[in-house]
Amino acid sequence: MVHRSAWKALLALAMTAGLLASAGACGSNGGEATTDANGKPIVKIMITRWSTDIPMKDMAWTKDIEAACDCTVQWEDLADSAWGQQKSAKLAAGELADASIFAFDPGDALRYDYFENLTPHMKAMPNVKKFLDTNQSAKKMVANKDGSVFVLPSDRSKNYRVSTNHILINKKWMDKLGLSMPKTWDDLTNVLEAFKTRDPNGNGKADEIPFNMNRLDTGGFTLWNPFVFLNSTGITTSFAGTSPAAQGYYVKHGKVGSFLVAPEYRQVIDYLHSLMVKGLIPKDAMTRDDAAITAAKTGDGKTAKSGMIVGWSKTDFEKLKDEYVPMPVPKATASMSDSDVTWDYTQDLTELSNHAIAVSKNAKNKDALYKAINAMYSEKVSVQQYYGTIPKDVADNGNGKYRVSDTCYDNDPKTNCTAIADRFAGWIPDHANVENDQAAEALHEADVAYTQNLANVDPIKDVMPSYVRIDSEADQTTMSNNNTAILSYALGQTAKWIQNGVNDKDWQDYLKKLEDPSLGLNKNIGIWQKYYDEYTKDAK
Amino acid sequence: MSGSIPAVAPAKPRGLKATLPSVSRYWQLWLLSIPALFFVGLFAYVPMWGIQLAFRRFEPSKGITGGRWMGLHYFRQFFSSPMFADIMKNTFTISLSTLVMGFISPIVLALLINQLGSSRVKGFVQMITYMPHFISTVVIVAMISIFLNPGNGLLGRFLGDTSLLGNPAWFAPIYWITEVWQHTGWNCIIYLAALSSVNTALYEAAKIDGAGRLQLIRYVDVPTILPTCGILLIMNMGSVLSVGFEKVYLMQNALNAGASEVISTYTYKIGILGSQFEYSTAIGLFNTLTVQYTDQFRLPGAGQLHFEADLQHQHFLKGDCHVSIT
Amino acid sequence: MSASLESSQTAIPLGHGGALTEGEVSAAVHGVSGIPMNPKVRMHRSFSDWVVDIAIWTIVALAVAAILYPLWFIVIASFSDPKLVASGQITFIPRGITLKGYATIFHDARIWRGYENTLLYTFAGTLLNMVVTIPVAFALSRREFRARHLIMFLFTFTMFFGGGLIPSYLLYRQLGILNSAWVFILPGAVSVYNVIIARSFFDTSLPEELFDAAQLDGMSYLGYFVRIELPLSSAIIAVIALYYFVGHWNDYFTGLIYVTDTQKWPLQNVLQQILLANQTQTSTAASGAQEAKEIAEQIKYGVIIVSTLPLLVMYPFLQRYFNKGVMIGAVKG
Repeated sequence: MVHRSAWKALLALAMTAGLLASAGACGSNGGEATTDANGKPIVKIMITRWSTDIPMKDMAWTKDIEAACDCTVQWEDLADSAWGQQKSAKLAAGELADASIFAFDPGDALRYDYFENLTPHMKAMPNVKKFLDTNQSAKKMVANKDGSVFVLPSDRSKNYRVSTNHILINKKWMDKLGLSMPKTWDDLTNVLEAFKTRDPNGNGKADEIPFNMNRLDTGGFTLWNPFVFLNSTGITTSFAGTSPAAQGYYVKHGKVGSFLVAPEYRQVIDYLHSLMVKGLIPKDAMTRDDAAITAAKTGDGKTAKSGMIVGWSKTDFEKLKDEYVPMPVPKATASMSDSDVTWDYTQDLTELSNHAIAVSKNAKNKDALYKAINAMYSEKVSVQQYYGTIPKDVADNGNGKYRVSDTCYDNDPKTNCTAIADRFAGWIPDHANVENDQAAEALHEADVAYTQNLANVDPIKDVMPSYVRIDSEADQTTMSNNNTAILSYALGQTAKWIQNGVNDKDWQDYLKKLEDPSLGLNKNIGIWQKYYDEYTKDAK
Repeated sequence: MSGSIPAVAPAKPRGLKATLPSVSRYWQLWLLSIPALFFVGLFAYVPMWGIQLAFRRFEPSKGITGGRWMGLHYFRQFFSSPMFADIMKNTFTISLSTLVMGFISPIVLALLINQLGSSRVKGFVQMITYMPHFISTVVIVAMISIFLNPGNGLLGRFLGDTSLLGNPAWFAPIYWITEVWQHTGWNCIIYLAALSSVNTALYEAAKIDGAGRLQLIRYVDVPTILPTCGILLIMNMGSVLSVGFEKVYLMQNALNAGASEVISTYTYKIGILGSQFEYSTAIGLFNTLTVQYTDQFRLPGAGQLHFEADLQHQHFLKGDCHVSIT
Repeated sequence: MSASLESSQTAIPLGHGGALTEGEVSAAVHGVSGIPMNPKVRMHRSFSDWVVDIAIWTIVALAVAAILYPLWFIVIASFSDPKLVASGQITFIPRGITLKGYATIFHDARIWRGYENTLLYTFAGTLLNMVVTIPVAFALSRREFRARHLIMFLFTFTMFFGGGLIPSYLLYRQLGILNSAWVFILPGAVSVYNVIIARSFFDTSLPEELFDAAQLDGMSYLGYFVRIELPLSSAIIAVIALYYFVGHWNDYFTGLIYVTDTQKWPLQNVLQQILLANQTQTSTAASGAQEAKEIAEQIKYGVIIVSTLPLLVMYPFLQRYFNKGVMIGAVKG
């Protein structure tokens, strides 16, 4: 009994193993076709996206691209999480699609010898040429010193020429309590204290969170972190994307520095600590989960809980958005001159991207590919890439006027507008007018409050322009190794001090440690200064 | 067991001469080993030439072997990093405490479950304790955060007005306690299997001789699982430096960063975010070399190169893979 | 069973392959306790047994409670208002019940495809795993097989060193298994960890007398392996199978790195995509982003239920094998 069935099982297993082995051996396929069944050239384009729940090929507007290039586009959709893992392996395998969207930046192109210099092919892509001629900032972000361009930028138009960071405060509460817009940090403290003690949401519970602050990241200064208050002291921040502000670098009057060792930084820490002591920032602000922060912003959709946040726009509050208004940044002290107060300058980084699309040297059907790319940078396809298909999702009213359909906002999967938003490779020119882009409208409304502050910022002398790049790989390596150590130490101390306060001795020790050559802070500042001077010498 | 002489027992063959007859004598054993040797050779040894990435510049267009030879450059870079000492200390603290507690707890649980009389209760307890193994790290960390919330968390409300997650001294304990919580039930399965081979007659004999419950455990159960304990301890020692990346990374915040920066999170920040593949390979290799050095049994566990890819791989080896939804 | 097997003495597995007789064990018990046998002491013992019993039951009950609560929390969090969950207002009873999370998960047609793929990869993968692992573990457990030292060294070496992601990717590409079901099955065919566990079980849990007896019967290694060793080792086979099975079931990294064709994705990757799609807003409608994010919080808990239920259902069936003393019955039978 026992042995018969056992033998049978063994035999079955052996056969399975044999099957597996033989089938595994014949998996490889030969050369891949470069034309489809109708003889049209095939172009392979890879795109990295947050998620790939709706494949590119299912987006109706992609047919416009195929019509323009008279080719078949084979889309390869990759989630960011997958790309992060696959990038090195695919580079090593030399396995690049004909074109890659949002996968390589100009630094990659310099480092890895796989990409086609597109400058000589501009004739084949008149839309791209026009774009780069029109928008000099965009061109500078991608062009190398010898004029070569390996990666094309993208531009989502003046609708997004705004700062990414805004302070939003509950106007309804202020009105109810008879408070006016704070002008200084002291004013702000008073407003926040009133939020805490006077039950502005009127539910009889002391559940108000006066300043619903984001926690500090361990890797650097991310979007919407509380150190935008540095602008109150005259240090202009740029907390977005690839800006070196994420690692603590800033520019003032043409000089690069690190705010981690600036007295103004301590001023902000002291201020945040004073808010913490008074219970105006949640006690667990440094450890809270993101979900808890979000829940405190949107509440139950009826009763607001947050007094103030640093965020994107009032849309952060969902159904409660009408209670909030943007707040110009208050001065650190009453004696400061208004002209010394600045605001976070991330205009270029919000509007432009420097890694939209790169072409592989080994692409088979380059002519068709350039036609496809040219089509992508045409106004109509750009609008569709960003917002959705015309006419289903976006109405084309002629003369460069478009209107995004309301159905794009009703959060119903059936009517969802299928587009790739900021992952688009395209150019929406300033003369195009896209209406009903609710995100952009809310952003603009938020940005207007900072007009005065922003007027005090010189986009070249007080900001690291987005086109300043560290070209040398050695410098890049030094930079990132030093930064990891510097930030790990500095952010830990900062979080501790916001929580517990800082005395002079601790601060002096901290400065001494950061300025020690072993951490390389001054070396990094020197590197940035070098490239800043090099890239801005014509502009100044 | 010394009485009978196996018909095929070798007369201790020595040296090279013995190899050939040994193959023919044991051809059946070779036959049983060949599939495994094939797969290990193909999928573990063939890719091993990639180790040289730690000593070369990554120049993919020239292939992995084409980059400039850098020698120990990337290793020196790591040793001279101002964070080196802290990272090593943190890594050891977290992994050793997890190793020790994670080793003891399944043994205790298995012995306890084995003592439960009713097989229905046994099954129930086993089933319940096995379940947490399948919870994704993301959710574990979310629950830690919710339960430790100082305002209204189930535990946090009794622990002062700041979260334990912000206290560097508590980072390692929270880490290992939740690891023990999550994996004890799963890890005790192997011990239960070992205990299942105890001769029930042995219990009866011991009982007749008047042995109490504790003595039964001490003299029957413990010796039964001892070999398994030994093997698992040795294999787990190998992973002494590989602390799970995902969980540490998700539990990390600026307040506890001093105690929570470990080799894998550092590698992530510097290597992946900064695109320094060579550097992260070197740190990964250092990680595994240290393991070998510190492991006197030369029977290491799942220390591996490349933190993220192999993180998964190594969990897989351990049969210790989670639902990893990030 | 053959006569010679019956003639071998009933052996008790104990430490390093050695076996003690019943007599020796009771001697050991006496020796250490050093208490002479008399009724008084036995009564005393049963009182202490009673104490021990209570202690055991208390500890186990506490452990079960400490585990049940968070499990219960996951269940209620998967259909309670995500805002209340995140702000810590859900403790024991679900509130603000909404099935949006599950609706979003099951609205996605890919999930069934994912289940199908996962079942295929898991069953085929585990089958191959067992075919490869158990035989080699047996071979390596034979002390007289001198090559076992070399093989063990070669195996354990791979637990230290691996080439890493890039060369593996290149290898799979060479083999043509990228983007196919094979990549889920072949590369993980052997887990050295599991081989060692199985080997040590064979090494220590089966009495050598069994082998001696089989030898006298004229059995070959293959015969002994298939007819004696396998039927007596259902406990370890069940454990190893469970390890592999769960490993395949939860494997999402393979899909993430080596498979771009979403039609071939296993359940874990599909669930991850559903979660990601809700965590981030890809269309223009930025105003819906927060709401989607909140649903994502719910999905986070829901996917655990969706992906784990089949494993929970399966467990009791396997449990049978490692819960009973298989060996003794078999020897006597």
